[in-house]
Order: sequence, then structure tokens, then C-alpha cells
Amino acid sequence: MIDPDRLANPGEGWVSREVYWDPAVYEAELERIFARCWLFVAHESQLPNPGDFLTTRMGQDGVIVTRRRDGQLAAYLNSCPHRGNKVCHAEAGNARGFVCNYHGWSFGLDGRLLGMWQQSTFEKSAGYDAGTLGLVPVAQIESYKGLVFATFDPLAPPLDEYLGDFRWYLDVLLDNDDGGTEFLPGCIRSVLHCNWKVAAENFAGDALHAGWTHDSGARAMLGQGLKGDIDPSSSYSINVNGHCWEFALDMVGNAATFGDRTVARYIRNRAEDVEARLGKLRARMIGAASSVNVFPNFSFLPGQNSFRVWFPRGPQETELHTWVLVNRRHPPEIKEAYRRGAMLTFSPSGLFEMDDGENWEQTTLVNAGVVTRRQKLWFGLGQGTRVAHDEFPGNVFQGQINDANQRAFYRRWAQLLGADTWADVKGDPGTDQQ
Amino acid sequence: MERHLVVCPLAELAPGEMRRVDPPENAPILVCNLNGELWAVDDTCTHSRASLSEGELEGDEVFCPVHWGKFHVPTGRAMGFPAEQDLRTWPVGVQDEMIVVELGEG
Repeated sequence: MIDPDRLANPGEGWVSREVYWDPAVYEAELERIFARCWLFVAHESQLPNPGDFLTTRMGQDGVIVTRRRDGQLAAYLNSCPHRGNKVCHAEAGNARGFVCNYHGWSFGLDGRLLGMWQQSTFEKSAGYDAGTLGLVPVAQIESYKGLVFATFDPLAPPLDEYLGDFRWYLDVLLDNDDGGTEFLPGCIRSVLHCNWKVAAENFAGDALHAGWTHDSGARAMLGQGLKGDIDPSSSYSINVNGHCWEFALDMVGNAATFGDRTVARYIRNRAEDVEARLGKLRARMIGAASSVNVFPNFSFLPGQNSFRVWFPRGPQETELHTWVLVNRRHPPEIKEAYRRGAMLTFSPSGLFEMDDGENWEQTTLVNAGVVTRRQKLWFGLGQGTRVAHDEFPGNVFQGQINDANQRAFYRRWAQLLGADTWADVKGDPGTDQQ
Repeated sequence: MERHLVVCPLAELAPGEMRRVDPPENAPILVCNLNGELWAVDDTCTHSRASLSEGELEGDEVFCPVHWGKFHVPTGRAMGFPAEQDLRTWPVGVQDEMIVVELGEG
């Protein structure tokens, strides 16, 4: 196994570039992060009825997520136990079950093997036992307020414990209204030639890049660039168990990038109701200048409400899927405004998203150079900014122009890579972070 | 001689339900109640060997539980791959409040 302490020392504020390049590091991540952590697989609104299914991935493992006849959600490896062929080729739909193209092995919504072509010949074969040849299920699947997560690891702590106090922050978007949330129909897919962590760490805590990388986009959409030397007193970087949220308290900073003010106005009009439900501080986070990463690779942007997964496809390739989250009870014109705004800002053709791609790809691809690859990267911005806060739970740092969350991301990363099982993962690695 | 197969009391097969019966000298038969009308067809899927009684009855079609081949119940017609060969149909009626399938000359 690789030695994570050789690759990253967040306490000292550095990360080796090998983490973006080395195939051995990547393989270790698949084993110790993606086959172990709770991973986002669906929003419940995508699977309202029995037989509804979608296909996605957990790490590089293809899975089918479905609602069974009994109403329970389930997820299985999307691979036939007979010869391994991919079982379901559709992105989403409603089905009675799943039949493999290769030899006609057929599986129910509960994953059970129901039968196959030439069944009686199988049944005469010594050792054949249909009960042991169903689709392989994930170890655990659970929802938090509409978001469905699954893990391959039976030893993983319950989802509530895995998310911990980060749930308090997630409620800003998931629970600001009685009706709950939904994903708008459709999923936008694109491929980036970058390591998955470059994107995840950016959403975890890189407010710094926004004013520089996205300056031209901001001028186009806001009529002016973002201000330099932002006052850190009204912004924060917080993390819990490696899950990270950097934010200002400006309520509509991200929503304002839509240009059209429909969403920003709507958020302001709802402010009192949301305050009554979530309190003053969280009401100011709903559409604020902010970004979030739920460890390891599930990110979102409050305000634009772009939710996304960075699927790893090798050390130098990432497949991005994005969806738009809205409240179920948003009026149709507000849902439409979110849909258009998300397309205009953070889609492959969006004004802001295309700013990021080139930077992220070069950040990864320069490491083809063997000497370049040996150099360390500096992650020390904001060392010593930890503060105690009366209301904010978790590890709280003053100022969003701060690497604190990116350091927390790599603390969690190193903790998991260094642990043989979940039993060796001792608590939140951010608690002694300064 | 005419052979009859008594299935069950009519009251036990509600509309939208189906039931398999196993006559002593015939292949299993599937009796369906479609909106109050009774129909009977062979129970074994013509594609392979599954019992259609373990599948799903939707409208006037029955879906095989294994590969979801479908059959039109009133005519027995195979409606789509992998079901290509029609099901045999059987006359069915009610005598003294009991469902009875006519098996023909024995």
C-alpha cells in the first residue's frame, strides 16, 4: 500500500503532485475511498415509483439503482454474475427487471436471479444454485432528506454518522421548505482530462479562484468583476469529516451570476420564512457566494443549485454528471429560472464552467513531466484562522479565501488511505486542524 | 367423454386476478378474470418454461416473470419477443358459482 504521509502533509500545508498522477495512488483510492465511503447515487425524486431505475457509478463500479416492488431503494453492480456483461445499458427508465443481453439471465427488481435461456440445463448442473447467483447488492443504501447514498463497505458507519454535523449545513438547501426538494429532469454529462481531486478540492474550498479565473464571466453576468481583498469577517470555511463548505453570508452572491434577477429576488422574498425555519445565519447561505464538496466526490453550488458527481475514470480523467436541485414547491417559473441559469453558468457550455476546465486539465497533465511531478504544491493559505463559533458546528475557519477546507479534504483522504478498515478510521481528522 | 376441470368458486378470483390449475392429464392452465370476463390459456410460457401465473397481469395481457415476454389473454397471441409462439386457449365458464374449464374429449 502507498504511504499517504509521503504524499500529503496538510498540517504543514503541502500536497505532492503525484496524487494527481501515480496509478498506484489511484488504485489505492478506488480500494480505500470509493469502495469504502458513502457515495451519492441518486435523488429520490428520480425514482418515485416501483420499477424506476437509473444507472450510475460508484467510483469506477457501474451500478443499477432501483425502487423495488416493496418501495425500498436498492442498488446492484451492473454486471451479470454469469459472464460479467453489463446488464442494463439504459441511463434511466422503468422496468419489470433486468435481462442480460449475452445469455438471457434475468433478474428481478430485488436482484434475484429469476431464470435464463436453457434454464433446465442449468438446473441439471451439479452445484447450480439460483439463490446465490443474483445481482451483487451494495452493502448499505440510505437517504438523507432526498439524497440517496450507498456504500460497498458493510463496516462503514451509518450515513448519519458519516455526514455528522454536516447535515446541519446540508439542510440549508435540503430542508428550507416543507415540501422538500427534487432534481429537475435530465442529466448533463461531460468529460474532463483532470484528476477527480482537482475538481473536488476546488468545490471544497477554492473561493480564491472565483475572482480571478471567473473574472470575465462575472463582468458579463454581474456587470462588474469580483472585488479584490474581500473582508474575511463575514465569510467562513467549515468542514466536518472531510466534507467542506466555503461561504459568504450574502444570501444571493451565487444566484446573482444568473444575470436575470428572478431567482435572487425570489430568495430575498422568502428570506423571512427561511429564517423562521433555519435561523438567520443559514437563511443567508441559501444562494450565497459559496461551494460545497461532500467527501469524496459529490459537489454542489448553492445559488446556482448545480449538483454534481466527479466520477473517476483513471488518474487523468473525470466524467462529470450534473443535475439541478429545486424545492418541490417552487413555482414553475422559478424552476425554469434555475434550469436556465444553471445551463448558462455551470454546464459544459456555461460561462463559468468553461473557465475551469482548461485550468484543471493543465493542473493534471503537466505532471507527465517526471521532474514536474516530484514538486510539492503549497496549500498553506489561511493557516491559523480557526475560530470558535456559537452557532456553526464542525471545524470553523474565518474567511472563505482560505485553503483550510482543501487541507481538511486531504486530511480525510490521507486518513482513509492509511486505514486498513473503517475500525482504523478514528474520528474527524479536522478536529486538530489550525 | 367430456372432461371438466373445476377451478375454484367464482368469488375467489376477483377482476384483475389470475390463478394456475394443474389438471391431472394436461399441462398447467392459467385462468384470468379480466374485468369480470373469464379466460383460460396454457400457463407455461412458450418461450421457455416459466409459469405465467408467477408473472404480471396488466389489462388483457400477461407478462412472463422471467424475460417479460407478453401474451394477449383472450386470444393467447404472443405479443413480443421473446414470446413468439401463441398460447393454447381453453373454453371456460361458470357452473353453480364455480369456475370450470372445458378440457374437451378425454
